Amino acid sequence: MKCNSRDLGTKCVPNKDEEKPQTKRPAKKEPVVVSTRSESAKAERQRPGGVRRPRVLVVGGGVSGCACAATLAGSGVEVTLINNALDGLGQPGYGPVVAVDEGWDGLVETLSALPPALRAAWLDASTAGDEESPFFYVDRRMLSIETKRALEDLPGLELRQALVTDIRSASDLRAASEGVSNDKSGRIRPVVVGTAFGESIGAEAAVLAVGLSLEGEVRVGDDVLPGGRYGETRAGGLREALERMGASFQGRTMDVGPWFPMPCEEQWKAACSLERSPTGERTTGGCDRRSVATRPLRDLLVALERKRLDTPCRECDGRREQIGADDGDEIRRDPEMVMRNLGSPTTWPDNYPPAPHWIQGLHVGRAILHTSSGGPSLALLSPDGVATGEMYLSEGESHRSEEDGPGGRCVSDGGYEPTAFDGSMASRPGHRVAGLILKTFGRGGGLAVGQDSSATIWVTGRAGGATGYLESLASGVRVARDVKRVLSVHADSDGWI
Amino acid sequence: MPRGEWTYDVVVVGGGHAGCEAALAAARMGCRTAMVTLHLDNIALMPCNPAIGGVGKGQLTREIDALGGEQGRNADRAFIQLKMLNTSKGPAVRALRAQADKRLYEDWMKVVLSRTPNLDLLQGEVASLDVSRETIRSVRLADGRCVRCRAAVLATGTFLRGKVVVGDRSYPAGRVGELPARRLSASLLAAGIELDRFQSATPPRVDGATIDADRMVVQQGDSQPLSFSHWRVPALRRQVPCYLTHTTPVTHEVVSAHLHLSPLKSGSVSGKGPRYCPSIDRKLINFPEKERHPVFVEPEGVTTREMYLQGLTTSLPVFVQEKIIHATPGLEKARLIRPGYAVEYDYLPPQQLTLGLESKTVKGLFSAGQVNGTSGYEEAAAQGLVAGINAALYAQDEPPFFLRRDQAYIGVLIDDLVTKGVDEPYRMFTSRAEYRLLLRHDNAAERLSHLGHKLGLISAEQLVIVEKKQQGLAEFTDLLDTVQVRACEDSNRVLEELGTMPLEESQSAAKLLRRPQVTYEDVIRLVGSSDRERISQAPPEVVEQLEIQARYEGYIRRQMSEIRHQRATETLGIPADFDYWSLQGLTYEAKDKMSRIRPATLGQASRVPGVSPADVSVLLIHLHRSQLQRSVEMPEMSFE
Ligand SMILES: Cc1cc2nc3c(=O)[nH]c(=O)nc-3n(C[C@@H](O)[C@H](O)[C@H](O)COP(=O)(O)OP(=O)(O)OC[C@H]3O[C@@H](n4cnc5c(N)ncnc54)[C@H](O)[C@@H]3O)c2cc1C
Ligand SMILES: Cc1cc2nc3c(=O)[nH]c(=O)nc-3n(C[C@H](O)[C@H](O)[C@H](O)COP(=O)(O)OP(=O)(O)OC[C@H]3O[C@@H](n4cnc5c(N)ncnc54)[C@H](O)[C@@H]3O)c2cc1C
Repeated sequence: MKCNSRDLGTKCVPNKDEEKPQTKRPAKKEPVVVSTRSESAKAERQRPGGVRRPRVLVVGGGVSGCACAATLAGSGVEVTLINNALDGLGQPGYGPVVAVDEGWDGLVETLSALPPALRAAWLDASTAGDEESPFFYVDRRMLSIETKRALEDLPGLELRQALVTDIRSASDLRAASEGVSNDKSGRIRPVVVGTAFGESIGAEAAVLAVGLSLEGEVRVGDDVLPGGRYGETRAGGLREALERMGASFQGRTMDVGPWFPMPCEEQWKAACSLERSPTGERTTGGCDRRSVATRPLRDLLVALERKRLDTPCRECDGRREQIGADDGDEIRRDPEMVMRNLGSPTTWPDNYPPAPHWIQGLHVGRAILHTSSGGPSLALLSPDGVATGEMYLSEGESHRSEEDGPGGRCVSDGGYEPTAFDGSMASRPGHRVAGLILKTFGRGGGLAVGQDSSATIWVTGRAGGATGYLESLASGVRVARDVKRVLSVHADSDGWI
Repeated sequence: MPRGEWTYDVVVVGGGHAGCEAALAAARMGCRTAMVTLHLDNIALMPCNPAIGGVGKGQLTREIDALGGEQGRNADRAFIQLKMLNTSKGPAVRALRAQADKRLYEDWMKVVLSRTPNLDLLQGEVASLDVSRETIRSVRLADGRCVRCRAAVLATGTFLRGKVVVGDRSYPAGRVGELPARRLSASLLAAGIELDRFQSATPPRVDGATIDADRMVVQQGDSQPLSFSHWRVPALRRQVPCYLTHTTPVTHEVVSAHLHLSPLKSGSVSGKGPRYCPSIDRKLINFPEKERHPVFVEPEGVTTREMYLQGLTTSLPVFVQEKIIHATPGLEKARLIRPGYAVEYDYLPPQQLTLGLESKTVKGLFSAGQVNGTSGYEEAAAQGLVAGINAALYAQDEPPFFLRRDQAYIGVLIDDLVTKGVDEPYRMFTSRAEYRLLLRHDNAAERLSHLGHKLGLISAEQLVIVEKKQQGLAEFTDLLDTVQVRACEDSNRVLEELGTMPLEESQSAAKLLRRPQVTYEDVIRLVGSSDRERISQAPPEVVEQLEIQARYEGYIRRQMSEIRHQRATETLGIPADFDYWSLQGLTYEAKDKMSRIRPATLGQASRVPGVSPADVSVLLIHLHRSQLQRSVEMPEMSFE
C-alpha cells in the first residue's frame, strides 16, 4: 500500500479500490488491449525519437473533470480537457454550499489528494462557519477563474472548448472502415470523440465527467430546458453512442436554488467593507436574521490542526508522530505538515486591475432565516460569492437530500412560496435537474468495457454516481489514478514513457 | 399580490452591454427596474474581442460616461492595457482603446448592478410580451412568472432564435455554450414587429504560451495615466502587451483551398454578416489582390493565457482554422483553445424605431444593441443608455430624449439606424459623423454632461468637475491671448529649432500655438519667465483642448456655423401622422419611404435613403405654408 496523499502529510489511507476491487469495479481489472494499439506502437518505436506520452481526453470541465485532468497531467499523462464553454470551466454548477460529509479530516484528505494549484484555488475561494457546522461555502465564480488559471499553467494539460456529441472506440472506427489515423503521428488512437462542430479528437483513453447532461433536462417552473445544468446547451448523440457501446443508465433528479438578492444594504456593506476586522472575521446579517460568523476555510482547517498539535495523541503515548520514511506504510498525520500544505492565501498582485472577489479579508457568511408560515421553519441563506450580490436559499440544516447533498426546492414544488422570499422575487428561481448517470461504470467511476471489450472509457463525478462536490472532486482524482495505472501497463508494449 | 406576478416601471430584457446600461439608467432615474437575463453568471460578457473603445467606438464610450453610463468606468476598472490611438493624426480621430480582462469586466458590472438601488436582477427567459391597445403591458417569462411594466427594453443581442455555425455544422445557441431565446421572436412577430436575420463571427483563441512573440511586433500600452471616465483616473498598473503579425500568401492559400467549406459559401448561414469586421474568408473574397492582412494577438485577461486573434475571424471547419493559424508567422505552433464560430440571429430592422429607440408599433417598447442590427459593445451600450433613459422618461410620462448628429456620436448612431436602416451589422466609424471635429474624445463631458445632469444621471459634484475644466479652459485661453512672446534671440532660436519662422515682432502666445510645429510645452519655453509659472499650471486635459482649439480654430468655426445654418431645417418638426401621400410634388419613392420611416424632423427626412433635396424643399415649403411647423425640442448645445 502506497500513500497517495503524502504531500499534505495526512495519514495514509488505503486506496479503496485496491482494497475491494471486485465491488468497486465490476469490470476486469486488467486493461483491455485494443489490437491496433500494439501495431501502431511498433511503428511508433521505429521512428527515431518515437517516445511519446499517452493522451487522455477528459470530457466535461466541472468539479470532477478538472480534478481528474489536473491529476492526470500531474502524473505525466498528456490531457485534453474539453468543456462546452470554457468560461464556465471549473465552476461548481449548482449552489455554493458544500457539505462536509466525511468530517473535516475527510475534507483535508480530499483536498490533500488534489494537485497543489487546484487545492489552493479551492482553499482561496472557500469560507466556513465554525467547527460544528458541517458546511463550507465556495465563491463559485472565483473558483472557476482560479481553477482555469491553475489548469492552464499545468504542463501537459490542454484546454479545448467543444461540445462532445459522439464517442467511439477504434474498433468501431475500423468496422466503419474509417480506421484511418487520427493523430498527427499517423497512428490510430483507441478512443475518438466527435464534437458538434465536426472535430474528431483521438486519445488513448477518455474520461467522461459530463455531470447530468446525458438526456439532461432542467425544469424551471412551467418551463423545461435541455441541459445538465441551467442554461447550458446539451449534447445530443453522446448517450446513443455510449448505448451502442453497451452502457446502461439510471435516472437521477435533484433540486437547486432558489437564489435571492442580498437582502439589504447593511448586509452588503458588511460584506463589502474593505477594512478587515481585527479578528479577520466577518459577519453578515442584521435585518432580523441570525447571522453566522465566518472565516476563510483555510483558517478553520489550520485552527483545527493547531488544536491537534496542542492535544497529546493518545495512540502514540503523547508523542506526535512525525512523517515516516519513504517506504513506510505507517505515515501518520503531521499537523505541522498539514498546515504547511494548506498554504497561505494567494494574493492578488497590486499592479493588476482590482478584482472584486480577491479583495483581501472579504469573506461573506451565512445568515439563518426564520421563515413565515408554510415553509420550513429554518432556511439558510448562503452568499453565492462576493461578486454576485446574491444569496442561495436552502432549507434548514437538518434537511439533507438523500441523493445530492443540500439543495433548494423547486419552483413548482410548493412548500413555500419559492419565487418570493421575504418580499423579494428570486433572482434565480429554483429548478429541478433530471438526467442520466452511467450505471455500467459503477459508482464513482471505473473502467468501461464495451461489448467488444475494446473501449477505454471511464466515467467520473456526478455522471458516475458521485454525489456532492467533494465526492465528485475525490472521484476525479481516483479515476485519474486508475486511468494512469492502466495506461502504465501499456507503457511497455506501446513505448510510452 | 397574486402569485408569480410582479410589477415594475421598466423591464430590461437582456444582461449584455446594452441591457446593463439600460437597466442602470432607468434605475438611477428612479424607476423600479427589473433586468431579466438568461443567465446571471454571464453579465456584460464580451463574446468577441477583449477590448473597449478604439477609433469611433472610444468616442461612444466617452459619451456614455459623460451622460452617466457605466461602460467607461467599468473599462477603467478592468483594463490591462490602455492606449491613445492616432496621437499623430488629427484630434477628430484620436481615441482611447482598452484591452480588458473579460472576467473582471463582467464581475465589476455585476457588482455595480447588484448594488444599484431600484434594480432587481432576474434570471429567466422572456417568452412573450403582452400588448394591448398597441401598448406594452407586461412580459411573460417561460417559467410562468409575469412581470407587469410600463415600459420594456429589448436588448437580446444575438440570442433570438440564435444558432452557432462552423463549416456545415450548426446547433441552436445564443453563443457557444449558452441556450438561445427560443420563443420571443414569435411574440414580436405577432405584435406586428418585423424581424430579419443577421450573422456575425468571432476568431479562434489560442494558448499564449505557444505563440512565438519574437516573430511578432510587440505593442505596449501608454505609460501615462489615461482613463475613459471623466470622474476618476485609475491608478497606474501593470500593462500587458499585445502582438502584431500578419497573414501571408501561404495563409491565403490555405483559406482559398477550403473556401468551399465556408458557411458563407455552403449556405449554412443565411443572415448577412458585417462588411466592416469581416471574416478572413470574406476578406480574401473581397480583396483578392492584398498579400497580407494584419493579425493582432490580444490577451483575454490577466488570469488566463488565452489570446484572441483579431483579424482571423472565421467559421471554417476547425481543422482549417488550425491550418490558417499555423500558416501565420509567429503562430506556427500556436495551440487552438476555442475554435472561431459564427452566430446567426433575429434582429429588428431599426427603421421601425423612433429616434428615442421606441417601437413605432408598440408603445412603451424600446430596443437596443445587437438586436437593432448593430455590432460591438460600445454601439450596444450607447443604445442601451438611450433606450433606458427613454424607457424611464416614458414610464414617468416625460417627453423623450434625443441627441442630434452635431451633438454626439450617439446621435449619429441612432439617426443612421432609424433613418437609413442597416443591410449589415452596423459599426461606428468617425467618417459617419459630419461634424467630427466637434465630436471629439476630449470634449465629451462639455458636450453632454449637463444633459446627463438634467436627467439625473450625473451628480452635481460631477458637473462641478466639468465646469471647473471649462473655467480652466476659458482662463487659459484668455491668458494665452494676453501673454506676449518677445521677438528676441532666445525665442527665435527655439522657433528655429522647431522648424518654424522666427518672430519679427512680439506675438501673443495664442497666435504662436496656432502654428502646427508649436506645442503647449514649447509655448511654456517661449514665454517670459514672469508668465511661465502661470501658464505651466494648466492641467493636461486643458492643454489638450487648448492645442486643438488653437490649431483647428478655423475648421471648428466653420463646422459650428454650418450647424447653426442648418439648425432651422434640421429641427423643423414633422407631425407623426403627416400624410405624405397627399403631398403633391414628392416622388413616389420619397412618399413610400417617409411614410414608413416617419422622420421626426426635416433634417431626419433629408437623410432617408431615396429622399432627394428636391423632395426636402417640397416638404419644407409645405410645412411652412401649412402652419404645421414647430421646432422639435432638442437639447441645447453647450459649446456655442
Ligand atoms: C441539481 C443539483 C444540485 C446540486 N447541488 C449541490 C450542492 O449544493 N452542493 C454540493 O456539494 N453538491 C451539489 N450537487 C452534487 C454534485 O455532485 C454536483 O453534481 C457536482 O457539480 C458534479 O460535478 P461533475 O464535475 O461531475 O459535473 P458538473 O459539475 O455537472 O460538470 C459537468 C461539466 O461537463 C460539461 N459537459 C457536459 N456534457 C458535455 C459535452 N457533451 N461536451 C462538453 N462538455 C460537456 C458541462 O458543461 C459541465 O461543465 C448538486 C447536483 C445537482 C444535480
Ligand atoms: C460569435 C460572435 C461574434 C461577434 N463578432 C463581433 C465582431 O466581429 N465585432 C463586434 O464589434 N462585435 C461582435 N460581436 C458582437 C458583440 O458581442 C455584441 O455587439 C455585443 O455583445 C452586443 O451587446 P448586446 O447587449 O446587444 O447583446 P448581448 O451581449 O448578446 O447580450 C444579450 C443578452 O440578452 C439576454 N437575452 C436574450 N434573449 C433573452 C430573453 N428572451 N429573455 C431574457 N434574456 C435574454 C442574453 O442572456 C444576454 O445577456 C460578436 C458576438 C458574437 C456572439
